[in-house]
Amino acid sequence: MTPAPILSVREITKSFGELRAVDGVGFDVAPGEILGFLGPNGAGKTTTLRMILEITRPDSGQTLWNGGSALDRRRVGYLPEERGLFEDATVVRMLAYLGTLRGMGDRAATEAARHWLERLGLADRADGKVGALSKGNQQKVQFAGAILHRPALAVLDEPFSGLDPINQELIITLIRELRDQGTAVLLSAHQLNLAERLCDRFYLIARGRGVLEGTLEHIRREVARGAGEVLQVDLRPAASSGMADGRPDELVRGVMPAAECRIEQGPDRLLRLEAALPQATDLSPILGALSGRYAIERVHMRPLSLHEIYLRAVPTAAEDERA
Amino acid sequence: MPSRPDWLPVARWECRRTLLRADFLFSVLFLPFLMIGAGLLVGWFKARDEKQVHKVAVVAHDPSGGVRQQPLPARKGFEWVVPPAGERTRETLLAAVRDKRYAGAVLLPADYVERGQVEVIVRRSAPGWKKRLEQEVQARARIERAVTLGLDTTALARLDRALVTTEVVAIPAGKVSKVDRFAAFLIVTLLIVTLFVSTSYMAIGITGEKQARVTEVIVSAIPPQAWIDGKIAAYTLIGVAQAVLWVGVPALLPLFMPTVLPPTGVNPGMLAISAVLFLLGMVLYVGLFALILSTIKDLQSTSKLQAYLYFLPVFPFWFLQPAIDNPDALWVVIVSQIPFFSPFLIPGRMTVGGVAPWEIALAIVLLVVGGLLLRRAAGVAFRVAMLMYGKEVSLPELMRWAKQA
Repeated sequence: MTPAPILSVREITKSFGELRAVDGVGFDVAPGEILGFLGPNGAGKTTTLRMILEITRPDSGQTLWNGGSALDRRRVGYLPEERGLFEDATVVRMLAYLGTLRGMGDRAATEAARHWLERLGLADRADGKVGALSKGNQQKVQFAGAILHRPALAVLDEPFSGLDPINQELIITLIRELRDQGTAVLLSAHQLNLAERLCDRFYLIARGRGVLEGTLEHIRREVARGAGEVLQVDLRPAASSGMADGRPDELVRGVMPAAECRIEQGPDRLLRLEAALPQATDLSPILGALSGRYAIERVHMRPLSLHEIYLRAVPTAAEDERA
Repeated sequence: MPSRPDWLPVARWECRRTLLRADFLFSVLFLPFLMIGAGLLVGWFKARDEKQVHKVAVVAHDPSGGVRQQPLPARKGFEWVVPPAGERTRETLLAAVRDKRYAGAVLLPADYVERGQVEVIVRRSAPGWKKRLEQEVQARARIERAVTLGLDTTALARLDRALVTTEVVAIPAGKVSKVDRFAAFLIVTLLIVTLFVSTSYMAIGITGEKQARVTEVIVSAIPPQAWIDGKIAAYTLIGVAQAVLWVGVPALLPLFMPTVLPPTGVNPGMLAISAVLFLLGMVLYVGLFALILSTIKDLQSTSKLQAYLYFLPVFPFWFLQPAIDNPDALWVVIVSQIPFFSPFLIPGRMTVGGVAPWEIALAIVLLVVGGLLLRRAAGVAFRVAMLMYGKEVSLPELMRWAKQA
């Protein structure tokens, strides 16, 4: 049975003067779930998060905590997009302060701060000044500040910002741990490859409106419009021919007019063709058309990535808006 | 067990951060010692100056055209010198004073009593001893005039005999000692000084947090009102701690300097009322500064109108002396009830016993109400202003956003 949502956002709107920043956004987040809250810059994500956190009030609609009670700020963790730390404080003291703000006792907050610094590989920096840390390490400290009190809901806005791949993996592991321990995670990130690996469901917002919601599979179907799989073919022009004898994308469209194709030039005359196709498409006509003029080195089928879904969904929303 | 109030961690954090600052410790702990030390040093210099004998050339002509050899009666601190014959003109005396052969010079023409004019030559304008010198010359002129009028010294002494006035106070509670007066002035002075110190650190704290963009994290954990309440509580406490230290250090002086006597006979009721007004005044002004600082981006934002409100605590000082001079005047009674003025004017007027109990009660009630209103306004201003990162909030914007937020 799906657990009851810990946070329900119901058709919230917010305008600033003439600008409607958020327009009817609504979604649920359940305990033990990671919801990817994605959208382009200026889409209304931060305003929505601020309304969820009751920093500002919606003009209409509502956010329900645990089905209707007032937001329990002590059970929420927040990692804002912009880093905000007391640079002249020691790392452990600052984290302990954030813990006490969330209702922890002094000792428990200090112990939790040291525990999370250990997990994040910053134990040796615990008693140093925050300002002496690198940008990436400050981001990790900020992350620790958002979760050290074991929140029921963690709102993470760009948690991977400024982190190298190793630390990105570390944060992914920790977010998964949180999820497994029952924390609901609302994640906003522009690193869509990481979000795709991490999130259980997605909510895409553009121009203040929700444009897609659901699991990756669901939103893929929504945007695929009959082209939910991507054929990847690595090929080189045959020795006697060249691109002038027929571009690979044109050859594919010759046998499959609805295919959406893209070509990338690789090293040493290598070409990568990507063609979005309906599921269970018979590939033999396509490969046949290509093989006459190109040497096929590799063929791979994969589903549409989150990145591709995003690129399809967001411009569509913008076009709808213009229309 | 009731849960801990949200503002408490903020207040503790601010207190700890401020009280452990090296510059704060210096200003609060060492400044009183420095000031007392400087005061003692100035006192020592002044005493030394008073012992100094000023050599003054006096050229007092008599009606026969000669120069008196004993021009003025001997006085402590002065050596009257009759300059040699070649040095009795205005120009030569100017040169002698310039050359530091004399501290100054006095020219008394034969008819100076009738003309009522005397010329005093000094090296630089208005030296400290000039007033005493003038008194000596006046005294001499007075005796000479008395002789002219036919009065002997006995008659003159009878004429000069001072009247002893005895104060009979009509309102029994109106009798106030000098110690009470000193205590009340001390509290008022402490209020303004501690306000400037504690609110300066508040400015550093709030604008620093804004620039470091920490506030959004904090108000996701606690309501904006709790954040501002924590600040107000912390900086009020810091101001009170500073005042206690500043009063405490001189109060401990008699332990180390037996020549300094502790004040005795302070009216405890007046002291208690002044202390309550001090505390409420601190809350009120700290609330006002919290409101101002919520709308200011950084400490350089002095071009904004609200930055000038920073000088508001100075205004009541201008009203203090007129209020003491005429404590029962209607305008004084009214102005004393304005919350920004009452912490200064009520203790000031109490030094002359000019405050009715109902006035004290009303002032306290208005201060409490004013403090609560400012606290609320600061909370709203902060919540609105923090939505406008990187931008300063004008008052019209503040009103508009307050409706929208």
